[in-house]
Amino acid sequence: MTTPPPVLTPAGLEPAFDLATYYPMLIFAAVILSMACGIVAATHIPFLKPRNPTKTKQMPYESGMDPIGSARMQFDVKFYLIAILFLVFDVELLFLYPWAVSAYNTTGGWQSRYGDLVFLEILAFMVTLTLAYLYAWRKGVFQWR
Amino acid sequence: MVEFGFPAFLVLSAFLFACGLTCLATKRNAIGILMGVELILNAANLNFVAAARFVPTFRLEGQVFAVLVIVLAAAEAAVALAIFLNFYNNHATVNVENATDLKG
Amino acid sequence: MTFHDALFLILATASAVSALGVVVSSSIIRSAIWLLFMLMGVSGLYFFLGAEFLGAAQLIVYVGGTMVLVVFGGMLTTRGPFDHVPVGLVGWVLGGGLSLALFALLVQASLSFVSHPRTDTALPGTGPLGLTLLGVPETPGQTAYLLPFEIVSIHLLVVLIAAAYLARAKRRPTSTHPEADHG
Repeated sequence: MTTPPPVLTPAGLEPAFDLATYYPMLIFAAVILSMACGIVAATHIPFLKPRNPTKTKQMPYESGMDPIGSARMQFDVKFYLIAILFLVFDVELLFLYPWAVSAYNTTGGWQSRYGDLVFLEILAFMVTLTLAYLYAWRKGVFQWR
Repeated sequence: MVEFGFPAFLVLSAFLFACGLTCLATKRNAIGILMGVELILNAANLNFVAAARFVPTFRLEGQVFAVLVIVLAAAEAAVALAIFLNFYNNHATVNVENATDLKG
Repeated sequence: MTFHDALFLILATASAVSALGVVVSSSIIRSAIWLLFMLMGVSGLYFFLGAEFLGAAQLIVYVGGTMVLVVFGGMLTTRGPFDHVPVGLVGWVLGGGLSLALFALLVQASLSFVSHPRTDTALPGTGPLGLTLLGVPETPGQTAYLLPFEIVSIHLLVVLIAAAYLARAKRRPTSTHPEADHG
């Protein structure tokens, strides 16, 4: 896979995005992974881990309350409704971001022909999702009962 | 020396697709089946983006289709999980073998 | 082997191993965590291909939204740590055999692209992508995708209403979990 040629942006000729130029992140990930694996190995492999259990060390929290019940309990459906609302507005963001990138970019002269139309489209999109929001509101999704 | 181009991405996406299909075929938990569908959709998406990179007439289309697939996958997961929650409320299980109410 | 090839190998191996993990883990939450790593690997591949916006969208919407929903679904419908259905040997043989056959077929089809002429161009960035979705053609005469965008917005409205309606529907009184009835 060859590196693609530079691309023309409003700021001038810029090199195309290339993940290989972000190689420090790879080094970062390797260091983090080796540290995590090393800690797990040092504390969990028999004969390598120190073993000196005392009663205090066996407690879940050395200071504070002991946990009540099991953490593997069933969750309430209210969390799910909030997650759905979050997801819908997450997706709205996904469409608003590319619009915001190009909305005030005057190269190409598209605004003289399409500017008002594009603004109306985005407005229609947001009104549609506001309707969904109002429905969820009337349905009582935001009441934490 | 082998260089990785379009075929390498297609083979990887075929592997993800096969994994998703195995999930669909073997899992009896409804949410496991949903995960298989997500795997298959990601395989398709990887194909779209690789085609956008390597097929000149597909540069913009591949990305547009990939965005739409991501959005539709999110919507599909939301509705499918709502249906599973209702099923769980009625049957106290998400095992798809028990979904036989409509069987004649 | 160039650095690009090594990067592809790392990302592809991570995605493929995680996809296998989704298939073989019997616990639903473990499958979800493997799927999370698979999605991250695929997003890395999008970045690798030069589609930065898609990689970010995959991380934000898929990893941050859809996966949260799936994990919630798992937590809402699992009663204990060992609440999973075992898969029979027949299921593994049938499903695995079918998938292997299809995989072999797809690999054969993919390798026919080896002789495909190599064209390697930079992908258009976020701005042209957004304008195409909003109905502004990149060059006059090219297809724009306004109708799918508007359909998606209506689709999102329908999905939110349907999901809120379904999840808030009246519980059947014979539910085995009466404490969950007041939702």
